[in-house]
Amino acid sequence: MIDLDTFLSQLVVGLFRGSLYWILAAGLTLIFGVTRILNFAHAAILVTGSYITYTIYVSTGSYVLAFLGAIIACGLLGAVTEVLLIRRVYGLDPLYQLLLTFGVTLVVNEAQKLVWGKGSVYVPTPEMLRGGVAVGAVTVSYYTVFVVIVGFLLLLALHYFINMTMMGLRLRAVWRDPVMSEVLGLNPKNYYTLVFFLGSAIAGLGGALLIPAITVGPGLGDHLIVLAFIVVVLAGLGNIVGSYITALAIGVTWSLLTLVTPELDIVILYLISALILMVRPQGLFGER
Amino acid sequence: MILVYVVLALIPLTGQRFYIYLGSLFMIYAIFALSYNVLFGYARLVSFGHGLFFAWGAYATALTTLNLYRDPLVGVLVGIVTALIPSLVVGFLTVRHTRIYFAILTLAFGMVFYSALVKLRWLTGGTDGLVGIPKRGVILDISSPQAYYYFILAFFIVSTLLLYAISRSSIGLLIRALGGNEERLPFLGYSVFQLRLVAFTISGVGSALAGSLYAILMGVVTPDISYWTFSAEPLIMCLVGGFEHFMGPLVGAFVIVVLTTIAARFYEVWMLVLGLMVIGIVLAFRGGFTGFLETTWNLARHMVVARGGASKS
Amino acid sequence: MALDRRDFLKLLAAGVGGFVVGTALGYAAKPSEVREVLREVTVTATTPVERKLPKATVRIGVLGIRSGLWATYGEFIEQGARMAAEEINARGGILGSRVELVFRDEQADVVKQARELVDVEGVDFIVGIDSSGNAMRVGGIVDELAKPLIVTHAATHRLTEELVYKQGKKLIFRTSVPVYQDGILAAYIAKDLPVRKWAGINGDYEFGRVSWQLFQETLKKLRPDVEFVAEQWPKFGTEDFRPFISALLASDAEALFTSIWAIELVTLQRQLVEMGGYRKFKAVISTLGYSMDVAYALGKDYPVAELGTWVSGRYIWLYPPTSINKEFVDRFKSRWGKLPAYSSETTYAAIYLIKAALEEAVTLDPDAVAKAMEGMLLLTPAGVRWIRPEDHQAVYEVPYGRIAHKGAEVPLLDDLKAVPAQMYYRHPPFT
Repeated sequence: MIDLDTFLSQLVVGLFRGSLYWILAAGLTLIFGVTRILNFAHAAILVTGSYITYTIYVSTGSYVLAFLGAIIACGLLGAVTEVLLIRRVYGLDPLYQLLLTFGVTLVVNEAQKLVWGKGSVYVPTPEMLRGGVAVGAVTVSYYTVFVVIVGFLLLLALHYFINMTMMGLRLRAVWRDPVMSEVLGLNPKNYYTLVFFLGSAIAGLGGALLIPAITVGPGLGDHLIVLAFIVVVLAGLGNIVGSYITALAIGVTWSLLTLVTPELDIVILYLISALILMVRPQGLFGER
Repeated sequence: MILVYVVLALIPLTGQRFYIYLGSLFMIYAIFALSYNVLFGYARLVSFGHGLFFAWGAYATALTTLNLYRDPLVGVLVGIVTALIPSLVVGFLTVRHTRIYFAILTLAFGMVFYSALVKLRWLTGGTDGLVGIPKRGVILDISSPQAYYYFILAFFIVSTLLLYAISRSSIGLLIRALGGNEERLPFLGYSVFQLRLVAFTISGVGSALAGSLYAILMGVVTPDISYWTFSAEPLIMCLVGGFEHFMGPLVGAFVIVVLTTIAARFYEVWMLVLGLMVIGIVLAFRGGFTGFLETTWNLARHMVVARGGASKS
Repeated sequence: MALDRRDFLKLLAAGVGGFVVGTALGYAAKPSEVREVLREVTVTATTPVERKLPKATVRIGVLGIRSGLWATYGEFIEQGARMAAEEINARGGILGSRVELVFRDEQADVVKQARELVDVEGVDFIVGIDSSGNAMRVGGIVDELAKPLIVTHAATHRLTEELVYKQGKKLIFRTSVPVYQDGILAAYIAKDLPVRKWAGINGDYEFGRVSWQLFQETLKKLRPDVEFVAEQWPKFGTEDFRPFISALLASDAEALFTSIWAIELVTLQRQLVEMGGYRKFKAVISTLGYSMDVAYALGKDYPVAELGTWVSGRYIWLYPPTSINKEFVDRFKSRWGKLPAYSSETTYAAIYLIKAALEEAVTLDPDAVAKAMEGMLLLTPAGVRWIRPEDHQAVYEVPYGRIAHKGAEVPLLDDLKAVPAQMYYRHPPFT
């Protein structure tokens, strides 16, 4: 009924979207894993990264500079938010922390509008990634494949970093047992700032990858954040590999569903999430 | 509390229609937030889907008054009574889970209901909604702003008294135990699941009442009241006002209504203004207004006592 | 924007023809209700000073979307309103009274904003509104607000057909063409295209649903051989259309219809190009494709289908080729730096409609003003608008055109096709 070509192209589209959601969720889950803060403003930071990519590209004409610039700028943005604001609420109920990050989201969204205007921004696909391969009637662009590859590389990099480097070891220590880490000479506060920097930098990467693929406007983050949370929770909080698999699974399922049931795609997604959580409350890969 | 009733009763006498409207809106949000707090503040379960019940009440009232029996009072009663259905069903499916999993589950249900409201266009009018919800009915005629203000006020008084009574009753204590020491409850012979379900149902029905009153106030209902962003409103009100105290959600509703109205005057940047206000509130009050007020009140009392004691000796 | 003589004559003929047919049908319908007064809306009109309004200022509340992804639209409305108010005030105001505008974001709880505008800010009129849902909400309480509401963008037919015609809320007016433009007129364009199989991608909300429904119904009558082979329903506010596009490309459709607008349309078009949509679809109809934010954003990259990318809006700066329109476009361009968006013109017209009505009624009494507006013929940049008395919908035609790149700051339109409005608008009793 559905021919192979359509299935394949839809699969790649699904992997592409899943990879974007993974990159968005990766930073979120990293920050949450170590600091136990759910940063509602995370998607807003990602979109700010898109805007920064646009500005740097327009003034320098270089993608590489724009990418790097967005990553560093968002990292700094996250770190500054942590130092100025988040730090003051570590002792509070997690919901107050969430409320604070919600306030930050409002501010960041409006700042995007004020700085870059109300109109949309866009960066054309980098030269060497333009064009694509025809799969049936659909042209699968090289750029979408590129994003999938980057997503996978990010997974490898994060995994390596967290599990095989000294810094990663320290982060895991702070994550598992902040008190003990302090006894052992690690200052959790510095690590919290570091992880906010890292997580937000990853968001910046996501933003830089997003803008050649999707036209960006102010407040776009609000349309992305809920799905990011769902990915993080479905996967099991703080689980990196789990988040990757879950994000890709959601992306692919959603894409394939539009082929089969065009009317119901997002509804089914929510229903499936609900079902999964009812059956396996700790998420697909979480630990109890 | 009586003071609140008196103040509210006096508002329509000012004759200022906008403030009558704000007062009506405040009461509706307050009922919503207070009901929500039964689940949130007492049982410590965070729901992101309570817009579902609010919307249920609103649409039930709308559909009843538009198609079945053209009277607002009947519409509201239908809204409240039928709300037992989704409250029990959704509650049954969700309360065995906790914390963030519960939150995402309720979010999912709320969004599914939103999709249903959007897609069942023949019934709900889709995104344009249902229009023409009457205020002039067979039994009651509450078409003047003052009249429907008092209509809402009546329900407000009844529901707040009920909720207050519940909070002070043994059921209320047990629900609060869910928030604090739920491990102990089975030992005392109580089922955590059943208690949570009771709390959920109370909050669901209360939210539906708020939604029913809202439908009549607006005259129009649209699906966005089931969207998760609207579901977050009672949560924000409880947080801002303080969820530990009974009055907290009320204070929170008041603050939010006031702040959003003020911020909207800056039509270009009102979200920025609101965001800064929210950040300011969280940083300054660290636990909601009522908590802050209570702390300062206690502090003040201590200081007075200390000074009184010092001057005596 | 150089038009050669043939094009100019064609346009002129279409415009005049449309005007003649339109007014003729209008006169034929209810001769006693159409008033034979033409109010000229240009800066050269003078106002008689003897008659005065009860207040020294006329306050007009302006609602539009000021935040989020559609914030440009609220700004378009503001630009049109401001320009009209500035022009009017520079020439002595309305019967000597100054026009003052009060702006609010309709996304900040539109009912609260509308009530605050009327009860606290003391506005005499409310103008604007982008979202159909918001228009229905404010329309629902218009009798309580007791001030005329002139909608300048929201396209739901239910505003005029249901609230004005069926429920008799006589204070509601609309100066912008509604969803008839997107659904019904598009079918007139489609009928002449040599394609049989259509696919549709529309937002999953009332505007998208009704547009597609009207398109299908009308086209089936005009071309019974047509088939609708695929449809997709992305939710409102979709940032990535790839899965939907992919599914459409899998069908055997030859042409695509879409009512998607604003930033979503920009994304949709770019993604269609990327995925090979323009190799598959021989023709594309984009009902709001000539909205200025889209035209500027896509610019020279605006994709052109083999049989044309047919676009329209609620006003097109190129049409009609009258001096009123040309001067308006020039003034707008020097005031705001860009070509006028459609909701700028519709709001501009709304302010002038208020002026005309007040000059006739010489009172701020809402019912008298509304009565004056009913049946009015207004000469505006978009052409002659007739405020139809049955449902207070402004009747004027906006053409569809084919995107053509000619090196100007925005893509231009070739083959403008204007159909007389009375032919594609729905008429009472709206069954």
